[in-house]
This record gives sequence, C-alpha cells and structure tokens, in this order.
Amino acid sequence: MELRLENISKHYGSKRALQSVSLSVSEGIYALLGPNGAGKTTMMHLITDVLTPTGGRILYNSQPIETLGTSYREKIGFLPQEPGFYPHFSGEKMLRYFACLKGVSDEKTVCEALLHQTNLWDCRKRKVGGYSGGMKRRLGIAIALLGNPEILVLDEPTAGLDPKERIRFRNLIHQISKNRIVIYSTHIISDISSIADRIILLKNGMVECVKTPDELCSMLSGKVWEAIVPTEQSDTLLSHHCVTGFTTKGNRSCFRIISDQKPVPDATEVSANLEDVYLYYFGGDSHDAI
Amino acid sequence: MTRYEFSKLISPVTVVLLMILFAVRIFVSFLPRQYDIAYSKAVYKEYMKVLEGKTATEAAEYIEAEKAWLETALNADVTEDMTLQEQFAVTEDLSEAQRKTDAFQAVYEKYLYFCEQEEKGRHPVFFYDLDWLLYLDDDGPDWLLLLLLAGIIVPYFTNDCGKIHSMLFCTGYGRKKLITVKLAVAAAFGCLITILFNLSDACCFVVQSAPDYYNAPIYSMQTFQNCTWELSLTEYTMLKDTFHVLWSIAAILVSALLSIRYKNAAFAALLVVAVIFIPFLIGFMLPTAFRTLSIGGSLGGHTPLQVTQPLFAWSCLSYCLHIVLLWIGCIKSWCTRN
Repeated sequence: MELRLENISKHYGSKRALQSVSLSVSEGIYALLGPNGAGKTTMMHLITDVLTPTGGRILYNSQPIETLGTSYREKIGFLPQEPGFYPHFSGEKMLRYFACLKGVSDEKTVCEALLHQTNLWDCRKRKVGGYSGGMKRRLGIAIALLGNPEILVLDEPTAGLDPKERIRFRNLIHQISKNRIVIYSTHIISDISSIADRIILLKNGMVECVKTPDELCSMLSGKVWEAIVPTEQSDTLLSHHCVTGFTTKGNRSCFRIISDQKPVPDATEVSANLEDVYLYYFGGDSHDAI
Repeated sequence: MTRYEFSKLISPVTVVLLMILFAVRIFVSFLPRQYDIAYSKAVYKEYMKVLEGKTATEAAEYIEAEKAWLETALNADVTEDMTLQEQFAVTEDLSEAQRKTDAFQAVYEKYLYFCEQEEKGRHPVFFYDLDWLLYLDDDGPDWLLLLLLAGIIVPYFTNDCGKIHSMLFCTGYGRKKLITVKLAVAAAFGCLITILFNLSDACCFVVQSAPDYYNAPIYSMQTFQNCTWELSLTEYTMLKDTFHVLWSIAAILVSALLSIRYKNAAFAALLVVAVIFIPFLIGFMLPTAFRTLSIGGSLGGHTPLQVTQPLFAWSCLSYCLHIVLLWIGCIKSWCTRN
C-alpha cells in the first residue's frame, strides 16, 4: 500500500497553493503540520481526488489515480474540516446515505457497527442539526470509515472540540489506524504528538521535511533552553527570543526558549517537544500555534 | 440513493411551502370567474342546453326557427286593434327577445362556424363551453409554480455544492451517478408537483362547473378553430398539462445548472428568478409573440397565427432538446474538478 505524490503543484490563478511537492506514504498515521494557508487542505483535496493538480501526478500502488477513478475513490475515507451535514437527517440516515454513495454492501450491519464504534448509537435517531461539534466529528469519522478505506484523510478533525472530545477523538483515530494510511492535518500539536508515526511539515506550499516525531525533536537538540530569571527581565526575554512557554512563581519566571545559542548564562538545555519543533519552523508566520 | 435524495429535497420547509402554495391555489380557483363576454352567460347556457345532443339538421332547424321568432318578436308592434292579452303577449315576447338577442348572436355565429366545419368534413358538437374556455385558456406556464420549484431546487443543489461537496465528490458514486439521480429526482418532483397543481385545478373546475362533453372535439370551440389535430377536450387538457410539465422540468434544470455553476444559493436564486421572469416580461410586453410559446399558441388557441401540427411538433422537439442539453450541462458542470 503506497501513495506517492510526484512533483505535485496546484495553482489558483496566480496563487501557488502547492509547489513541486513530492512525497511517498505507506501504512501508518501521517500528521500534516503547518500554519493556515500552508496548503494542507489543498494537498488533502488532491489526495482525495476532489481537485486536479496543476502539475505532477499522484500514484496509488504505482497507478495514477485518474486512471483508477472510482476504484481509487472507493478506497478513500475523507473527513473535511467542516463537513456541512444535512440538518434534517438523523445521524443514522446520514451514515446510510453515504454508505449508499460508497456502494457499501450490507449497509445496515456496517452502519450499526460504526455507530457503536464512534459512540453514536444512542443518538442515532436524533437530527444532525441538534448534534454537538464533537458528535458531528464522530459522525464524520464514521462516514469516512465506511467501506473500510485503505486511505483515511482527516482535515483538522479536532478543530473546535473541547479537550475531552479531542482526547476521545484522538484515541478513536489511534484505534482505527491499523492497516491503512491515515493522513491527519492539524495545527494542534498535542493531537498528533502521541499518535503520529511521521510528521509532514508543510510551509508555503512546500514540504519542509517528513520525519518521525523523535527525529524532529532530535533536530532541535541544543536549541531548546529553560531559564529562570527575575520577573522584571521577562519583557526583555519575550522580545528578544522565541519563547514557547513560561510560568511565574513569586518574583521569578521560568521560560522555555528556542535559541541557537544559550539565551541567558543560567539557562539549561532541555529536550525538545513537537511544540518547539512547530514554533521553530513556523514561529515566524503562524499565529495559531499553541 | 433515490430515497435519500427525495428526503434531502423534501425538507420540512419544502413541505410548508408546498402546503401554502396549494392552499393559495385552491383558494384562487374558487374565486368567482371573470368571463370576457358581452352577452348573458345564463341565456347562452340555456341555448346550449337546448342544442346539446342535437344532430346538425335538428340544430339547424331549431336555430332558424329561433332566429325567425326573434326577428318577429323584435319587430312586432303593438297596435290598437289588439286585445289587451295580445298586447301583453307582444310586449312580453319583445322583452324576452331583447334578453336573448345578444346571446343568440353568439350562438348563431357558432352555428355558422359549425356549418363551415361540416363543409370541411369535421363534426363539432354543441355544448356549454364558457367554463371550458376559461379552464383551457392558457397563457403559458404558471409562474408562481415555476418560482416555487426554483426556490426548492436551488438550495437542493447549492447545499451539495457547499461544505459537503468534497465528501460527496470523493465517494465511489458521488459524481455522474449522484448528479444523474439528483437531476432525476428533481425532475420527478417537478413533474409530480406540476401534475398535482393541474389536478387541483381540474378538481376545482369539475366541482365548480360540473362540466360535460369531455370527448367533444376541441374545434367545437371557435377559439381552437386553427387546431389541426383531432383532439377531444380531455386530450387537449392532457396535452396542455404535458406542456406544463415540460416547462417545469426545463425550469428545474435551469435552476440546477445555475446552482451548480455559481454554488451560492442567493446568487443562483437571483439568476433563476431573472431567467424565469425574462420570458414573462417579454410576454407582458409582446403578448402575441410570446403566445407562440404557450400551448394555446402552439395549438392555435387565442392567436391569429395559423399554427399547425409541424409547428407544434417543432415546439415539443425544441423543449425536449433544451431539456437534454441542460441535463448534460448539469452533469458536466457537477463533474468538473478545479
């Protein structure tokens, strides 16, 4: 099972959403990480065959997806950022409608199993218009899972969810990721830090790197520091360094800083996490980082 | 899939809209009808009831006798040598003749027209036709119905072009099959609503007018003298309703195409209203020109044009061709990826 993007570009008029992206993914969870406007959604729409690339081609098991057509789309499960369900449909009806569109045989049994798996069984008869954000996302994932797809594409599935729903959703993704390619776009690092096998960093329509979380963190070795300074020095540190977090206790503040050199004499080197990686790569142009 | 598409189309809002429209329609149908005639409807009806079922010879005899009686009655003078009873009878006849004369003129013209038709080998029959004339009067499609259909169809298509589009589009059957089913469902819905609309009209007509002579030839009414087809009143009604159904399907496909093309419900609705109202405005300003588009025009009703069977066939073919082109346009537009 291999999905390969070869020199993919996508232009909207003069705007270049993706530029010469080459990438190969196989089984596992791939987190697509990047700030708003990096080209995550465009890349997902190209992978799901919703958009056609301006240049390059996408191959699934060495065959171009435009040649595979319906047989490729039958292998895809897609959850867009805002699914926009029909409000007067019940959850069950919505799921069965998509089962029909995906040509799922034995739709009743399949839908019942998915409603149980996504914890929607008790509210399956309720109108989707009355569902909470979390329930809609779970319904979306149930729809994406219809037909047991080999490629699961999730576009910012946890945006707008409360922490409890996010954790529940994250666990669900982890459960269903076996034997399939999962491409998970987000800019919420905590969602992917524990479940992603590989992280694709996307910036200005180009792939910066594809690495495991550990490899990414180790790339920042010697660049993440912790410094405890008097509170009155806080402003100086905040304005001169990339600060990923700080706590204040009494008249002293503890800062976590990304810097190529030791920011203050008393600073101690600490191991990097994915938030540090995110800020290191996108700190200059992201306003959405945690 | 069809079942779900019908569920998407018939939302609670749609049901409410349809109920309101049918209520308005039935209310309007029961309002007193306006007859554009210069004679007494009641007298005309009396004559027609007498003439109904008569053979051509019997009818001719009756009309000639009535004509003679009217001429006598209208020209009779009261003279002094008459008895009081005779004078009273003459006055009464005069008054009766004055009451009847205008309506008789219409009957007589109809009789002359029938004679012409008999010479052509046609066999028109007498029946009370004023209610039929109002019922069959056709100025083209029902604009209110078309706008309502557009109002339902536009969101039905734009909703699927919105946030959910990518989910639909990446499914196995979310392209050609889905759009074909959607168009078929929308067209079927349009047909159903148009037929129900026409049926409600027919029911109101039957309840109000208790008409008869369903199988009388359409050319029995002078208005349809140019109609070259040997159609009965029922057949003409069905043909008229078929044209209405074709209009509805065309309006639905225009709405679908604009909705898919522009994706925004408000903008598409605005365009649809403009597209549907442009012919209406043309018809308002140039009624004769526009009536050639209507069933009445196509079959020779209410128009001086000598419309014949080939022109009707052309109209029908033109509608069908437009429908096919619009259908293909919708599928292409839906399946186009950016």
